[in-house]
Amino acid sequence: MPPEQPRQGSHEHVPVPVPVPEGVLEEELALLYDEAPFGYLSTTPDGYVVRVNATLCTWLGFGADELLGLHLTDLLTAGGRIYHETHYAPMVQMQGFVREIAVDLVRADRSRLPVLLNATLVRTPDGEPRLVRVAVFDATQRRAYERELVRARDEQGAELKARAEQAASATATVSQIIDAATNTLLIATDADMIVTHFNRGAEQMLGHAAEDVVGRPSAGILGVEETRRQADALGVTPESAIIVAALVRHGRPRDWRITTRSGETRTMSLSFTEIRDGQRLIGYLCAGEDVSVRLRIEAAQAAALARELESVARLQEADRMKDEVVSTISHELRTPIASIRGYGELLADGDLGELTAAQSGAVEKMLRNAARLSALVEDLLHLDRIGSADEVPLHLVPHDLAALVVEARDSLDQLARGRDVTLDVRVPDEPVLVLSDAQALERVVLNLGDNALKFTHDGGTVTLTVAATDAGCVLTVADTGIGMSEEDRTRARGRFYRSSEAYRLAVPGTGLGLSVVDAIVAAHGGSMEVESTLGVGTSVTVVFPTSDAAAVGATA
Amino acid sequence: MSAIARHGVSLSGPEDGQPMMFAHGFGCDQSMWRYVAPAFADRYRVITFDHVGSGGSDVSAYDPDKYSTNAGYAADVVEIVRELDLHDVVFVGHSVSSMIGALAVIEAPERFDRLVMVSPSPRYIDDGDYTGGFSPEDIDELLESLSSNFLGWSAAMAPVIVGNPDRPALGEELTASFCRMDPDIARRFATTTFLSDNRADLPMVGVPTLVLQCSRDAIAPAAVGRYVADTIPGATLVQLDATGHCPNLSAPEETITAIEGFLRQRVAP
Repeated sequence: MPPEQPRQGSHEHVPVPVPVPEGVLEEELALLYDEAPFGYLSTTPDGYVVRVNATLCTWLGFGADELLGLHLTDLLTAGGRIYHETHYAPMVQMQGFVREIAVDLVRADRSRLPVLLNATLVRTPDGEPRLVRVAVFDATQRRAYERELVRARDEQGAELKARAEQAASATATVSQIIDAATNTLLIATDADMIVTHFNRGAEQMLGHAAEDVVGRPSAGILGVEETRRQADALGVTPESAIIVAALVRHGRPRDWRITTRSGETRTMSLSFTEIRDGQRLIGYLCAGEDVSVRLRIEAAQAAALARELESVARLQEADRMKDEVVSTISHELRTPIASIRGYGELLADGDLGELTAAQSGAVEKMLRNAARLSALVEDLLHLDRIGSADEVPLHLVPHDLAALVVEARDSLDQLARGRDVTLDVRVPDEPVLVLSDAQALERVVLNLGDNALKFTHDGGTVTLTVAATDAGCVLTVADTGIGMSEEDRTRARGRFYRSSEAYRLAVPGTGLGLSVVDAIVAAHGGSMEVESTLGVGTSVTVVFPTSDAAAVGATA
Repeated sequence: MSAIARHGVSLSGPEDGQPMMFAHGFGCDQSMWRYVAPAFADRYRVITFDHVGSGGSDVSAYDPDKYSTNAGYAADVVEIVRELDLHDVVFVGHSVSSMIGALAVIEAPERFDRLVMVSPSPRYIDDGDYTGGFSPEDIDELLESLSSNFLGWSAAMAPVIVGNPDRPALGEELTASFCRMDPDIARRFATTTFLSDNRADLPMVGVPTLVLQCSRDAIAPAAVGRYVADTIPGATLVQLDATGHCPNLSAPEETITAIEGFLRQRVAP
């Protein structure tokens, strides 16, 4: 090893003694001591002031001579004195120094000067405590700054605490709301489908306790098989992230068949939504309800409705068949009745030979009953035509109502034969044209006339009147018969309705007559009025509209 | 955890020596006795310990309710005495621990032989004819001073307040100090100490008692020491030349001599 050489070119500082005139440095030090920007004081080991610099005297407003001999605690506040005894003095005595002890010094004018004390215990060469040197820093600004810092820190702390409490309270509220929904299943998961919240509704519906499922994959609750089935239905691969994304996209609730903890299978209507924190996906929320009961009720209701519709259809079919039977029978009866009546009239007229009085009576009864049968058949056929859904349109042409009434008189005379009832027909000389179906119009006249005759005692009168008025063509059939109560009168138009008097007096009839008239008149655009007084008689007035076409037809 | 571990109990001296237990006051810890306690370790079984919250104690055992009264601290003293199965204990308490010792003696008189009260005060706040030396405002000011000053607090705030990254050791030096204490506990201990009133307990102290009174004690004035000595039956008052509140630090020799003199006294049974 070569001997160590002084390094060339190094910038090591080499102190060069500068000559200073004798006494100058001592003077400088004294000035520095007195006029430094710090307060200095020295005390005995037990705290009595033995020296103090000018700066501190100025700060405190005391003369140096006033401070000498005082105890350090004489310059402190009461709290500072305790602090001095419990901390400052023990620390100086035990560790030999203190650093930056913050106290207030009391000035001559009793105002306070916040300061920091740095103290050092000076020992004699043999280790005995000799002096304590104390440097005093004015801490007014620093103390204010510290207070400001502490205040800011406390405020910040309080704000953070308040915010944390607010957040905690909001969380608690949400939790309570979620748990209060006992009829709604709510399962929250994180983004990896691990259950993070399982509300009370979910517990009740699925039988799992929240603490058993939170922290586990949601597939364990929903069922792997069922999840696969849902994936198939949505047309996605059975991978949990893909399924849940598809369910979220689907948007609407879907029915899931889920096996509860007790092994029961229930149908849950579940919908899935994403939970996001701003843009970040943090989990999913599955909300749903148990629809098992609802589905059962709905199924039962549907079955009941189907049964009801079926029986309605059956009833409608039965009704239609009945109508058909009635219609067919009526048609089939018409021809033989017409034949019976034709031959009966030949017999009655003596065309087939002279009859004895007894034979004439029998033939007359035959004819009367045949006429009644005929009228019944006609009534049924009219009702069938007018009342059925596939109504056959009436063939309306102008007919002279007056002539029709005069013609009907023969038929009515026949019905009244053997009865002492006066049949009075009053028609004008001019034709009263009604745009009508001939057969229907004839039924109106015959039914009203037949009714009047049936309910009129011997010695009574039935009056048929035809008149052309401003209101229309009027046919009135009035009798002096048994009449009807007000109740019977209002119900007389009803099909098959027969008055209580008719029953009491055993007047034959079907109760169809007046309803057939009413239906026909209505089909012709006319109206029917029934007036009646019990025991006095009944008057039925039918009004057909006067038609311009009727007038044209009449002149043609 | 045993009371011995909880309180960082230190034992020295002959195992069969009479037990002599030293308790520190508000401020520092058992090292307050380091100039005095060793002087007795030749004859006495010397026990020093830290109150919970101070020095090397288990801070996690700090219970604000328990330590809101001096009785809470006294219960710890009795617990240590029982755990070590000590009898005929000479209890030496400094400052507030003189009162804690008085309460321990009242609590378990069968365990104690004598009581030494160094700079005691049964009540720091003036009350009618009684002069404790402080007003409630003074105590508030102390608490304020603790809050804005305490060493533990300095440690917490040092990086911000000192603002001197070139001297990171400053903060460490302060907190490594033997007087370190959690600032919240310090504040509570100060509150318990300086708002306490144990005047009514003093007549119940049933063991020979020595009261050591310093001159110029800024915390416990001479009149308070006299009051204590007058109120405890048969108590002896010794006025020390030492000044301040901590003769155990500022005048250990005088303190030792006074205690030894008291222990030599024959006490009528």
